[in-house]
Amino acid sequence: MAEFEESYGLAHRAAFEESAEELYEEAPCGYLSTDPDGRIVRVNRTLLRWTGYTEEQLVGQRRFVDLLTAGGRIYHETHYAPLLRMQGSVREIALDLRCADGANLPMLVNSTTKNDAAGRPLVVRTMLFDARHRREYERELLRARERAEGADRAKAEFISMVSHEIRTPLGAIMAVGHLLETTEPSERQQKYLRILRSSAENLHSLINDILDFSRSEAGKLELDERPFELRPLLQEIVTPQRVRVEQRGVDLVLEVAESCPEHLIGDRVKIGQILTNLIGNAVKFTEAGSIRVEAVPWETDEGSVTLGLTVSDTGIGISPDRLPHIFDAFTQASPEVSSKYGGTGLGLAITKRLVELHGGELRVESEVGRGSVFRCGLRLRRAAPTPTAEAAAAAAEEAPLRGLRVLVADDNEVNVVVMVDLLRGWGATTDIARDGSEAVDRCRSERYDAVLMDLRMPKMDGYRATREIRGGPGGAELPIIAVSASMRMGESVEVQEGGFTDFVGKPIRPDLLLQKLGRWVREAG
Amino acid sequence: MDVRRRNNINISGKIGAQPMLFAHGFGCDQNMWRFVAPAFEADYEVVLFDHVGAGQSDPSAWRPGKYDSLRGYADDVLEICRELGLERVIFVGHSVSSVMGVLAAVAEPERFDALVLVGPSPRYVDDEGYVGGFSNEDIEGLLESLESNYLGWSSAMAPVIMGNADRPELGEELTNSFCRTNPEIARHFARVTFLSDNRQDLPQVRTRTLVLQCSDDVIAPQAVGEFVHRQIPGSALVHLKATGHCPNLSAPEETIAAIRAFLV
Repeated sequence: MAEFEESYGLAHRAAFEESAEELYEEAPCGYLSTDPDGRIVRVNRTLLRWTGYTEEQLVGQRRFVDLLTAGGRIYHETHYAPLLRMQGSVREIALDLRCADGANLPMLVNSTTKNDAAGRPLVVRTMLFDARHRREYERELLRARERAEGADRAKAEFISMVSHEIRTPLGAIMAVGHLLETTEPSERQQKYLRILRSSAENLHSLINDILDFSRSEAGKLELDERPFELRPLLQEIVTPQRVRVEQRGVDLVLEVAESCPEHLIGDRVKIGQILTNLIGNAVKFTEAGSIRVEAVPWETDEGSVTLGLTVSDTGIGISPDRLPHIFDAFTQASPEVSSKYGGTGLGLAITKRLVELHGGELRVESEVGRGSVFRCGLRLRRAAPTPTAEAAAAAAEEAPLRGLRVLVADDNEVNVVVMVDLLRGWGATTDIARDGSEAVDRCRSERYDAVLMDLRMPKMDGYRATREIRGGPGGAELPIIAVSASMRMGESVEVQEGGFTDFVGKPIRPDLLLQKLGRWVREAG
Repeated sequence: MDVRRRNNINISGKIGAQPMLFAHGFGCDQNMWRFVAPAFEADYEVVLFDHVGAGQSDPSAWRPGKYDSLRGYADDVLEICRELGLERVIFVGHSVSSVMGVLAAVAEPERFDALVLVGPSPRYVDDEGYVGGFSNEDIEGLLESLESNYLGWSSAMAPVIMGNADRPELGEELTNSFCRTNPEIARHFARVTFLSDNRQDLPQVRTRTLVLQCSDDVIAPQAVGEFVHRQIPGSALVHLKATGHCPNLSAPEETIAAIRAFLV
């Protein structure tokens, strides 16, 4: 009996050992052991079958690194080997094996170092998994991602291009409408002009929204931070909206906490957009009651402040099921809202991104029939008080540009007519240059107080013309104002780098143009 | 620009003594020197740093243009020297950082006392009358290899926490991943490194130089080490028994001994 047990035990163990051996040799993964210098000391049959090598060709003859493609060898030496030395093991490294017939076999490689009692590496055990399918999937994923990103970019560029192309003629429509208003139109014509103007303005703000949105999609939004004064800025934003709601009998109240610092550094254009969008929404959806705009410092320290802005209204409110989606692009509270109130559904999506750009978060609470509250905190730096340009700007409006000589460089007939008429209306004398080189010539032979420079012109564009004028006599100080449909938010860097003094967007807002011309001519002395 | 933060500078050893500045190569970070640098702490001020994009450096400091050639990285080396006020610097560079050391020493020879170049190569791609060891296609293959590995970066390069009974002093740090790299920057760095050609800079070196050449180094083969030695006037060439491209990890004692013998 004991004899039987002994022989059974032996046979059993032999069977077990054979099966361990077989498990090693026929495992569904490759096994390979190397000495610390990388020379192969053992390899299983699976790996031999995959690679087409014989045991004699590998064991004692080659190093693991010799089995890799050239690129894989570099990766092995620069990533794999150092990591293995430092960590004692590496997992899931993607490497290609070079087979006996020259074909490449994508593998996923795991290695572990076995050390001797003194801690010196004795042997490196490597397991290799067939990664052909996985690599194909990965490549397919990569390609799909590249295609999707390419399509996205193409879409954004297309939107930007089309919007830009629409903006230029629209600018002409608005400007000519403005000029028509100065020709003493009849009452009926005035009515038509009002419709023309409000439709054009709607279309204009729609296109601006689309451009802003595609810019923020492309990650091209940047903050243009400058010192500003908080209270005048808030007044400036709120006042035009107040005019709109007061006709309806809705109160628009602005409250700025006394503890709000007055002098801050931030992007006043974007802060203006945030508030204008939020107040604009409140105005749109509030038929009776009031709208409150509050500014409170949430957190203040020596160098910065988190400015809490709250816009609350007593409007129609937003239903709970729509609330989570109102910050999504192209979304409105309901289809009825969009047909009744208009809009693109982009405003809040843009506002949310602008708030995030300021390190804040836009939140909303709302109750149907009671109203909505939008809240956000903008992180702003504090600034030392500086003298304001406002008093100067006010003076400019009273004293138009009498006695000034302005060069208008633009190849577009309509733009020239619009600008020249505006300038003459303000008492300035004007010359016209039809392209960049003519502008350069005129600046060399005549003395101007300012130049309005279109950017896209035949022969020589506005950038180059400006560089050349700057390089000429008296050119360094001359106010050169870029006139462009393509410049809007966040592109003031382009203005500085292009050597321009300032820019005005198309369509031209006469008040802005006057203000900027007045300011820069005065500064140039 | 905060150079210390940008390059994650770590200073140890004998503060105020002659400085040794260790620069890591492509693929890893200052951890590459973990077995070598401590040996010099008794006699030298030891300065370690990560190239922008590698390790704990500040990847936001990366700028296209500046880092389009090894010169940008060499400028960082000089900025580090200036920031720390390092004089009579012993620069120890591994792999591609060897060339950065060469460029830095040529630009400001008075600042450097010695160059130690571990596995240097002034050009990796073969050229007429020059064997670098690789073809342009090979470099494309490397970029593909990077691509495949960065797809699975998190698993491949994730921290490996393991029983480390033989080196308990590493236990704590092993919870951090070694050689973490910003994938975008690494791809760019790979291109800049392996497509560089700085052969003409070698003869300009006026600093005493040691070239350490490993056996069976597939990245910087023997012929390349000998080329570097011939081109740098008065340089010393030492063949290490260590195999592979990273003697600083695989044979730290031999590497330390060779550097010590040269510096004495």
